[in-house]
Amino acid sequence: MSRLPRLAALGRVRPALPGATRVLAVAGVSAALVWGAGSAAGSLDLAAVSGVTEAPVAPESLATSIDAMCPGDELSGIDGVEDTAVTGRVAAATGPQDLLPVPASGSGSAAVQDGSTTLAQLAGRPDAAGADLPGSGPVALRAVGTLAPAVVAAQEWLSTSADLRGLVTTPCRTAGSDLWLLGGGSGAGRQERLVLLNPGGNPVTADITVHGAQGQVGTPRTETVPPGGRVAVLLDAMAPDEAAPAVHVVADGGGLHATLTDTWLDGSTARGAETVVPAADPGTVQVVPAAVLGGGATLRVAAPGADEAVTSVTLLGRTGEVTTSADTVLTVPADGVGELTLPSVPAGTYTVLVRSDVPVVAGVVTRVGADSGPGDLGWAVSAAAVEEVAGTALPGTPGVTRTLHLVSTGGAVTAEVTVVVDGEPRTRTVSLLAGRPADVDLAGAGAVWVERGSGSGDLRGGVVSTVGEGAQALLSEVPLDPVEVSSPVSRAFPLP
Amino acid sequence: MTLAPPRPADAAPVPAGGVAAPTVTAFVVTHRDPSGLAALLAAVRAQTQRPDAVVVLDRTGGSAVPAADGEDTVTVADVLEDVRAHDLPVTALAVPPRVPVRRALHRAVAELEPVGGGPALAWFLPVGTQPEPDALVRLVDAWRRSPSTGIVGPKHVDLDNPTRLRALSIRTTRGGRLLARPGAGEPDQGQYDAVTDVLAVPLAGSLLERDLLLRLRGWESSFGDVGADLDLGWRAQLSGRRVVVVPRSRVRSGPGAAVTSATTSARRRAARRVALARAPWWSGPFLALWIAVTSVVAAVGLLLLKRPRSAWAELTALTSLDPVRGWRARWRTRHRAAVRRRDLGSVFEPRRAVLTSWGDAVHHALVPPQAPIGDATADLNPRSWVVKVVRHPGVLAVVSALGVAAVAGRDLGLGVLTGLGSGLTGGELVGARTDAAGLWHGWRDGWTGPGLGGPEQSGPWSALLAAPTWVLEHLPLVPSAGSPAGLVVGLLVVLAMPLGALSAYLALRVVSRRRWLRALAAFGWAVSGPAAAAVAQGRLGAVLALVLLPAVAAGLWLLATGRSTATSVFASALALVVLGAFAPVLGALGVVLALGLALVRRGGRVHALLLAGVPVAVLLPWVLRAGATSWPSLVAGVGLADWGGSAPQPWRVALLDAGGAGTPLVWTTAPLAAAGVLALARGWSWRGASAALGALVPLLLALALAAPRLRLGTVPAGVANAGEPVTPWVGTLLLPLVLVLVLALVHGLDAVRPGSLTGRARLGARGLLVTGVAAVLAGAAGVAAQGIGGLLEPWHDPRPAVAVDQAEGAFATRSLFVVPGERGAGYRFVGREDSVLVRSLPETREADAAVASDVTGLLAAVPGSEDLVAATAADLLAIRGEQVPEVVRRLDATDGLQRISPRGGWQTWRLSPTDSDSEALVASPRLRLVTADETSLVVATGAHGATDTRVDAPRGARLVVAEPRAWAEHAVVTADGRALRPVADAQSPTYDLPTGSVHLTVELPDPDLWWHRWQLFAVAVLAFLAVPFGRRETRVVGR
Repeated sequence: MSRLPRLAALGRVRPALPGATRVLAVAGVSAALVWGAGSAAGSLDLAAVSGVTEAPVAPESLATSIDAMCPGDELSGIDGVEDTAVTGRVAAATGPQDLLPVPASGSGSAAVQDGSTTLAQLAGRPDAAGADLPGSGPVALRAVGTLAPAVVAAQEWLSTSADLRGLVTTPCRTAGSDLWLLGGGSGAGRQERLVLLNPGGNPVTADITVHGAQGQVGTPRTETVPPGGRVAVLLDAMAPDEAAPAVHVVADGGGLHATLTDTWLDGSTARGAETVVPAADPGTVQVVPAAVLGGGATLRVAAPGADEAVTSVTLLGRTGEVTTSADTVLTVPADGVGELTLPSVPAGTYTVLVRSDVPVVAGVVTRVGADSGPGDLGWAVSAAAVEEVAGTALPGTPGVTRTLHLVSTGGAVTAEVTVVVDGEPRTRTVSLLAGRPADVDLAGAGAVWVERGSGSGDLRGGVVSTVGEGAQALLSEVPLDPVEVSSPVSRAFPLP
Repeated sequence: MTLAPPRPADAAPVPAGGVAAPTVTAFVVTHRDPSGLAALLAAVRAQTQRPDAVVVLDRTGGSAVPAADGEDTVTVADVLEDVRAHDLPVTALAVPPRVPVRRALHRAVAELEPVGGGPALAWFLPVGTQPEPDALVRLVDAWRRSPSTGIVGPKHVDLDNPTRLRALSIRTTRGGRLLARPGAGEPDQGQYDAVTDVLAVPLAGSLLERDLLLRLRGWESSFGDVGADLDLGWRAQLSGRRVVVVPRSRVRSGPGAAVTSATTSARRRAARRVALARAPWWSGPFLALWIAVTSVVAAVGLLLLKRPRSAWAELTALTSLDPVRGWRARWRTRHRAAVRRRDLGSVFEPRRAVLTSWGDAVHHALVPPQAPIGDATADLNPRSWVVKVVRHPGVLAVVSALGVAAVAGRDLGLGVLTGLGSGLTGGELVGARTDAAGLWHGWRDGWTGPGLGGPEQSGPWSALLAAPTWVLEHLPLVPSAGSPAGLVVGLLVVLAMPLGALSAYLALRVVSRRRWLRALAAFGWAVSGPAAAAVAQGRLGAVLALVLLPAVAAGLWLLATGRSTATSVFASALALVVLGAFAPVLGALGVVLALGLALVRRGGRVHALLLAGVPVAVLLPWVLRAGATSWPSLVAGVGLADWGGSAPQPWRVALLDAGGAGTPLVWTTAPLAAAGVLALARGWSWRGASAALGALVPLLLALALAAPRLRLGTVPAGVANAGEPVTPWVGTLLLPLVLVLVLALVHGLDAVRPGSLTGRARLGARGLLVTGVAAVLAGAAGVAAQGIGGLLEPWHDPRPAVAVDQAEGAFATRSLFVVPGERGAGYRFVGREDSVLVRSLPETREADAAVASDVTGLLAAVPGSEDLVAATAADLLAIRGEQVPEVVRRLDATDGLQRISPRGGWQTWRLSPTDSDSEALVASPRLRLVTADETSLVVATGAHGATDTRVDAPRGARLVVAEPRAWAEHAVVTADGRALRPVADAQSPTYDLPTGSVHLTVELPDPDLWWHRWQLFAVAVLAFLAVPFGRRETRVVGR
């Protein structure tokens, strides 16, 4: 009896069976497909199967041409002014292959040239070469092809004569169009020579303006720099009485490199010499990464804009920010230059951090030696942050000891530091906390390379070179310049 | 003409004094069997004026038909015996069945001696006619009234429905074009009762003077039936005798008894031959030419009106121009004309009548006949048309889709609409300044494409887009757009959702007649997740699929259900062709489904094969050619490739998540998928629509899941995701899946009719409907809430106006755009040929790649790199951003480059010719005339150096074309019609010109000319066949 209602119910349900089965089947098969697609790997390369020739995807574009220049003998080349011969070296180096984001393929060359004369040739990487500084004229670093990425050069001379005393290290740089140079000062026998260098193939016109404590000084001067050549200008002719000059060079029709050589012969006492490279572009934060303090040091700040700049100065030592009771606020007039004597701190290398409400440029001058005796000048200028790779060649001047001073501001960062000693790269990772500089010894190094690692901070560095100790020491400070490794225009390819 | 006094119609005419009364002999012609004879003889017997004699031409050969009682058989003799019993003087005359009727009649009339001395009249009555009782008396009366009357004919009405006309007279033009007036079945309202003199009357029911017939040598048998009647009447008229029709004399005729029109090709030809035979000999050739021309014109017209059979019949009339047969007939029936030809003008139909009849035919074809209006359709509460429109479900679906699109596109801003004239950019849209000509030449020229160009032609989508672009350009009162083609593409993208809703609403009528259900489904289709993503990402191929897929699906549905018509098949085939041009994958899918239907549906196999074969026949040439170059590009379609990025997870794909911009939350698209699958439950059969749709769901899902695993290429440098694989866009295959689910939903809900249910069943049905509505609304809400993002934006030409003018003008210059990046400087030449509006698969354009080192040199200011400027006719260099200050400095210092104000984030330099050219030219032109002393401009009128101009060429002048060297292999340069050969080893294509004033042409001939012509022809014919006009009964009944 009980089967009859069951059969009747089945009879009522039976017409719906196909529909229900369909729904379940579709849902089930779909679920199975989803599961299969999620769990099974594999793909079909139709492009390869069909034999389509695909254009290779261009890898990161390495720099393929570098034209950098060093001033050569800065103390020569001004009409009416007696040349002073210096004896020095110029060194060039290519970075290790590891610095390049992609392997460089093809051929390349890199050479240090004095006009058409090759002074030194680089082959492969890493490599280093050096030569004596020529008697006159600039020194050019020209690299093309595979040797163009991560190639640097620097010149250095050392003089301990009675009328010229100093260790002067100058990195060779590529051209820029808007340059600020901080150097020179008041004092009897103090002389500033501005050397304009044109690495390009066309004549470039330079507009030179000197700024001082009261703003622009004198009338601007215009110089035309021949391709591959240099023009030296005696700054005293433009601003003879300016105690804190800042030189602004604007290039038109191309790019220029410029150096400012500050020599001081106080009577018969040589008080020092230094060649200053352009400071980092104006900004509200300027970092002088490696300034030797402990003696007399002065911060010079120029405010290029139309507004007065109010700056605060912070010194960063090994343990972080240096606390001081001295005045650390400097007001700089619009379009003018201001100076602040840095507080007395234990001798050492410090980072000078300048924060401003308007863009400024900054540099620190360190005076070495007794007040009345011979000494030396060391100009440390603000450095640009290292976005990719930075480096410098280190000329093998006997007796010079060097230290790389790294600092990170605004956050921690890691840096891969490669020191090339006798052609052997030695790489170490340096972890930098924000505001806590670190030193790397560069004894015996022919070049040093810094590659930015991870982190949010702005990485900067400077190399401090010294000869001797105490009051007899000679000092030179150079910023660690970012090095061109890749270039967005070194290789062109058609867009799809 | 003699007028006689009126006389009672029901009495025999009284002979006039001294004039013998005519004797009338009725000639009855049987069929090949005795059927119908008795009825005809009964009608003869019932005449108020009985014939004096009745002669039955027995063509039965003794055959019999079953008697009315069904037991015996009846022969002609039996019938006659029965008639004789009623005092009708009947004689029988056996005639072999094969002898033509008119020849037999002629012999019978000739052999029969007239009775009495009066005129002898012959009344011809073939079986199938039944004269009304007063038919004969009225005919005789009409004959009697005018001595010149030789032939008299009655009005033929329908045998079964005497209120409808069958025939009256044979009406023709001088060229022998028969006019069917009155038309068979036309109501008899006395509209023809005023007709008297005509050219000819049909044999049936006609009354002829015996002497006249003998004098005219009877009928010309080679003209068949209606032709012979026409010929006889024509000759009678020429001999001075009138042919009169007497509408008051009515003869009831069955089908085929009284033929007056060209119902067959043979009759049409015969009438033509009659005209040729009766025309004066000297006018024969002219008349033949006239007949030929009018026949061809009529055939074309009929073809345009989709009357292929009638058109063929018109063309077959050309065979009537055979002069031999015409002359033979003319000789056999030769006689001297007593009436001048022009005096017969009134009995011929004027040409105006022909034109009027053609006009009527066009009207009937273009304006579909209205369905009979019954009482049920009477609206007791008539609404205004505004209310009807506003409350129309289809309108609501379209407006709702438009509303959702507007809300979803809130992030785009009004700028998208105000700047639409220049087109859109973003997503897959790249933007370009191009017009219909640019698209057209991209499709047909031998050297095409943006930049420096190449031999690869654009796909048929380019030509298809050119058509609406051309229309847009020529619309009156519409301001000219910056980029007409961009505007068309932009409109398609912006209006994709409402257009998709409209298309789906119209297409879904094949699934359901419930308008609100169709509107709901159309709305759901238009605002589905993949549809929104297609719009948001500017995927033109998918946007068109959104509009065209419903039409294709409707065609397939009709095929599957056995309800397809030729028009529906061709309409679907046209949609499939267009779809295949933009989205070949979807086109192929449609073809495969049609082939599948051809295999499983015997009834509609021809239609299915047509639907599958037509798109293949139209697109195959392009597919093969493009496939030989790159099959992946075919798969990629137009804007249907994913350039890198991550594909959505499989479970998301199953829930209709296409990924990328504009994709709504997956949980808002899932209800539609679930509802569609659940709707497959409809039907108690294992087979049917639900089963077919159910099979398609996993198939399409599998294809969609497989799409991200198919690598089509690699994202090139210079764009985002460089180096990652390019894969088909998942949404391309999700769209048909969505459509299948929507079809399932409509099909399922169509069976749910709460109104016919009660109680719980009614509640359940309502619940199902609410579920369907909720699923659709959830999808719409998801799209509206998520929005389609701000990926799309109006395209702005980065070139300054002067560069645009130079590019579009005589100089036809190009601009060089450089985008520095990590991987180098990507560059692109932009000229007047830039017609790529949507990106497809990355292509390797060899000509552009070949100048990479030159561009690098130009950026590095390498000496000699300025040659690139002249070689490419570049007049503007633009570099994106300012991240390469050394390049800016370098270029500033380069001779021939003048920096101009930056524009839209581009640093720009004007490129001027250097050296001696700088004095003669303001820019490096595409075409230049070079001599040893000077360089001058040659006007470029077309794309890629094409021109048609006149130049004054000094001695030793050369034409230099700023195109790649390979261009010369595809171009034809002529001077005064003489082809020039390129100078060997020249850097750019160079040609020595003859001295003097030269007509110079530069053309880029189409290498696939005939294929392209075929495609154009095929698409035009398809479009014609797909337009549903005509007088098909189904269009009346099925409404």
